[in-house]
Amino acid sequence: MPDTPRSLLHRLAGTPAEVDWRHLVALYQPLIAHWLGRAGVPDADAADLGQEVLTVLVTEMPKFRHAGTTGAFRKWLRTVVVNRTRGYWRAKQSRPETAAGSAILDALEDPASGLSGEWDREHDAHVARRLLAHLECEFAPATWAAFRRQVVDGARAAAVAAELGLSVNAVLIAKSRVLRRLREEADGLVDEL
Amino acid sequence: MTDPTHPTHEQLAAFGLGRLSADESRGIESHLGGCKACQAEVDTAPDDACVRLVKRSVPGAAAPGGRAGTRSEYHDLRHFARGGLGEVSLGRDAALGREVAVKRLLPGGADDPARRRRFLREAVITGRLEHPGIAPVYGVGEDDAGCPCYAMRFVPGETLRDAIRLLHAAPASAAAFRPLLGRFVSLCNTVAYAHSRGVVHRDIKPANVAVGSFGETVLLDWGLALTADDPAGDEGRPVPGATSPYTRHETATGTVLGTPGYMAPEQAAGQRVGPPADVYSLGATLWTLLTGRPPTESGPAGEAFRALLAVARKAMAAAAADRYPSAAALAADVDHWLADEPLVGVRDPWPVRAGRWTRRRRLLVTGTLAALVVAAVGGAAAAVVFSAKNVELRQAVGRAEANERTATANADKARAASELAATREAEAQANFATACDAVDKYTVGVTESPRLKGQDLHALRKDLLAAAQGFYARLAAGREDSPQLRTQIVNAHLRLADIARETGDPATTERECRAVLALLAQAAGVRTGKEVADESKAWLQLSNVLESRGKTTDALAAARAAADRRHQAYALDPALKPDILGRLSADLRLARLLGDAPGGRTEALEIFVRTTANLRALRADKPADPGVFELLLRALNDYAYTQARAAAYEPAAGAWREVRTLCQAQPAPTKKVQTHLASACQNLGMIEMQAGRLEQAESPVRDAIAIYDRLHQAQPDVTSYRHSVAATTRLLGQIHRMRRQYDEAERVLKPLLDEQLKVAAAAPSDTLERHTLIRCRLELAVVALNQGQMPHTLSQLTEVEKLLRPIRADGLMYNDTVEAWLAVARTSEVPQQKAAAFDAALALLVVESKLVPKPTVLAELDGLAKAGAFADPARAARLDDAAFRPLLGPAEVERLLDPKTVTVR
Repeated sequence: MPDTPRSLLHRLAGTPAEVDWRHLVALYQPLIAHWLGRAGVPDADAADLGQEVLTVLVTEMPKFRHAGTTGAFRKWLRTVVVNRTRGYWRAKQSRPETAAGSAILDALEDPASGLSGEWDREHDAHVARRLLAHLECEFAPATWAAFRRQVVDGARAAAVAAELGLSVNAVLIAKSRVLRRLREEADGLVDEL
Repeated sequence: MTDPTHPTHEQLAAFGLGRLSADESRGIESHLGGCKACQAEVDTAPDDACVRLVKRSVPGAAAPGGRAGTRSEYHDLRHFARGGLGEVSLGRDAALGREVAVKRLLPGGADDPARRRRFLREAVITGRLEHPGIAPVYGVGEDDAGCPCYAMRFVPGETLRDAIRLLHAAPASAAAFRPLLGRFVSLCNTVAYAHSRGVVHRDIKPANVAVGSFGETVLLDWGLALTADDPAGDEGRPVPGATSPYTRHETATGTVLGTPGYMAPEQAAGQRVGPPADVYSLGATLWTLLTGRPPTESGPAGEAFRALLAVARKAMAAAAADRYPSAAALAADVDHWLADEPLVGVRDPWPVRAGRWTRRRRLLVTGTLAALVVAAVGGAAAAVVFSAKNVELRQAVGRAEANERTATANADKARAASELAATREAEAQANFATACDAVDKYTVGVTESPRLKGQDLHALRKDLLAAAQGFYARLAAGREDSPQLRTQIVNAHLRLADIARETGDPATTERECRAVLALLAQAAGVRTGKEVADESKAWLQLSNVLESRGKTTDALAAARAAADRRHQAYALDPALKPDILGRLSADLRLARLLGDAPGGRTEALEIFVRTTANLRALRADKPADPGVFELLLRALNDYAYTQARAAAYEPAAGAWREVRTLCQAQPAPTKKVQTHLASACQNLGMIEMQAGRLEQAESPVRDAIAIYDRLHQAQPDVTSYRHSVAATTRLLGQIHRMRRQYDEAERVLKPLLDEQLKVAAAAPSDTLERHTLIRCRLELAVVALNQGQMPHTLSQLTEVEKLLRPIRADGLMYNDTVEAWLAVARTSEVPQQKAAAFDAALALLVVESKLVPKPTVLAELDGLAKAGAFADPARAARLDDAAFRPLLGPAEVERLLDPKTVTVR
């Protein structure tokens, strides 16, 4: 029996379960909404537009092949958001309500701009946060706590072990396993992981 | 570490950071247990990008722990708040330099072991819970006086109770509730997390929720919390009749724990409580948020929140089993509401309309998305993307999919069977019939589903119909020569034509109709009544297409063929008799097209008279048949139009009066009937006006306004009702103006103008609204002019010009505006005013010349010349404008420039 792929992106490219779709939508909906808001799309339309972007995401994602370049996926997503937003303003036959909105789109289109860098950072942080929250249920609470205390709080293994009543060995393995799982799940979505 | 029994440095570092595969890790994991040196190396591996990302991504990182904790380590204490058990001060953590909240058991309570225990319980319980929505306890200790105290995260901001009070202090738009509702969702998620850890809060209420200035929503006061391993209901006995919100937190015997109004019935009854009690309290909190009052106090509930109040009510169901199964489920519903219902300025009626429009578009997007997802990845993804709101739609799609599966299966069966057609023709036919039947049902289901009929779901409907289209196309392909299957193939082409019409594809409709006609023309031998009826259907459909493409002559011929074939089929096969309505509607179509055709009026009227007589007789037989009633109304209406176009006012008015009587006699008129009635009244008014009977015109127009207005009030999001209100109101204004009742006219038109201004502001790009606004201003300009109020006229016309400029498609509107300026020029005695009016008229006429037929432009130019516009040589030179040059020969220019000639004419 073949193993289920360990990464969300690969599961979606294979034979995704409903939960994977749900996960994808939950993962990207808030981020997209946030960026549409920044680009000056009014709330009332941002939901529609966000759904359009999600449509593209849902239909294109299974076909998305990691091009091997750093940040290929988030860059692609950024382009989709920019293009759809431009299309939206065009359809409304109006310029972005604020000049700032237009400037934001221009900057997002330029991969070298500071805003694109910010996009990348926000994307990665958001995805990492969401994936972690999602993965938490795969681990025993003690494992999770050991991981958190070491990675998030920067505590030493010995201190964490004493705190949680675990062996140092177990604490180290906990950190290793959670990080490994996170890297697996995020493969193709976030390149740093 | 080169010892081969140990992993390498790189391996250990990579292991510590989770970079190794599961297999590689396994070896190191088993080695690590017995090797302290390698443990130390793993532990001190430097952070990589991944760890750094996790560090900056995860919010509310737990504070560096440490048992610190006596009060003396926290400085600058400021009294902050006092709760039931303890007082809260604000302080500074000396070691880490951060602000902390220090909670101290009130002096006097410290000696009571139960109070002491419960006070510390908060520290113990929150220590177990790690969540951004729960303030972590940094340390526990005793102060100098020996009172227990602990330090916890300080959340700057206010409580949800304060925020709710502030929100309800002044009338707020529904949109203003969104931030707090978002907070409420966070709160639910926090509670869901606590429940997952076996902790029940037991005292959720707005006052116990801190809403931080930076978006944090923190559930405070876990002193009453119960953990799964606690002894059952140790302190939860109630005081009967306790009503004061201040009675909680007392340890004397018989204590109410919890807050009345927010407490679940089972909690008030002192029973052992679980997560459902918190769900109840969350519901009560939501209620308070929405209404500004706790659920125990009655008061009006905002209409805007009907759906959310229902959510709160469900959460507060008396029986725990009737509540939401979890705090997460409650959160999901509120979240859903937040996501699905954009609240664009609910206070104002017009923005409400705009908002509704947006919502309808949202449904459209959802529909398109659904179809796309179904197409791309199948049902699993579709189920995700559909929101619960679209359950019905989802069911429709599900049914459609099931139908399609059946149809495909049947079609496959049929295909397989047809390959054996030579030997097993009968079976093939049977299978064919089954397949056709299944797909027919599907197509009719999709075509006629009122839910799918809305403009919003057009795309989805098209998609669903396309599925059947494929089936019919396969069915029809390559089987034209099989006489046995002809009926089915003809049917397939007819269905394809229907689908193409439904999906707005006239070219395909025409092609399919012609395919039917060709098939039937080939058919040798005696034709059955059914075949002739099918031919009639094809002709009728073809007539529709041709008419919509402006080929009126061909459309008329097709309509005639359709009507003839209907009668023929009827004669051939008495079994078709029940389809008399089909025959009559074919006749009506013919009559309507004839009425428009040159020289066809007499025949058209004959058919109308015969058809309406037939329909009246039918109606006498079947007074309750809605199909007969509807067709009779249509017949009368089409007849009246045909008469009205020929200026035969009397018969037209008579027919519309009959429509009015028929509609008024309906005991419970449907919206459709009401629309018929209003439209008949409107037309009646118009006809009376055109016939010059202005006094008779007023009353039906008023009736029409009243009906449209009622319909509009009942369904504010159906824009056509509002447009009809505006159009009929303007008509009334016009009637008043023509009767020289200028005050009346203004009384009618000015509120209309105000309303249209609001609408236009909300939808600036809506051309239809703009037209109404222009018409209204024009009417007011003419009213002002007639009253000698030149400044008003000029200001209205200036506005009209502004509105008109972007519209370059409506020649009639330009024409009316030119007329208005011309009237100004004629009336005004101020030379500059006159000149400006001429110039304005001429400028508009340049645009108009491209939109209207030549005689209209010439008539306008004549009007200008007559009024003396071209006495000014500069203006006369403008006749050489490129716009007029092709219209004007030298003789015409000469005539225009000679005012005397014009005047004489």
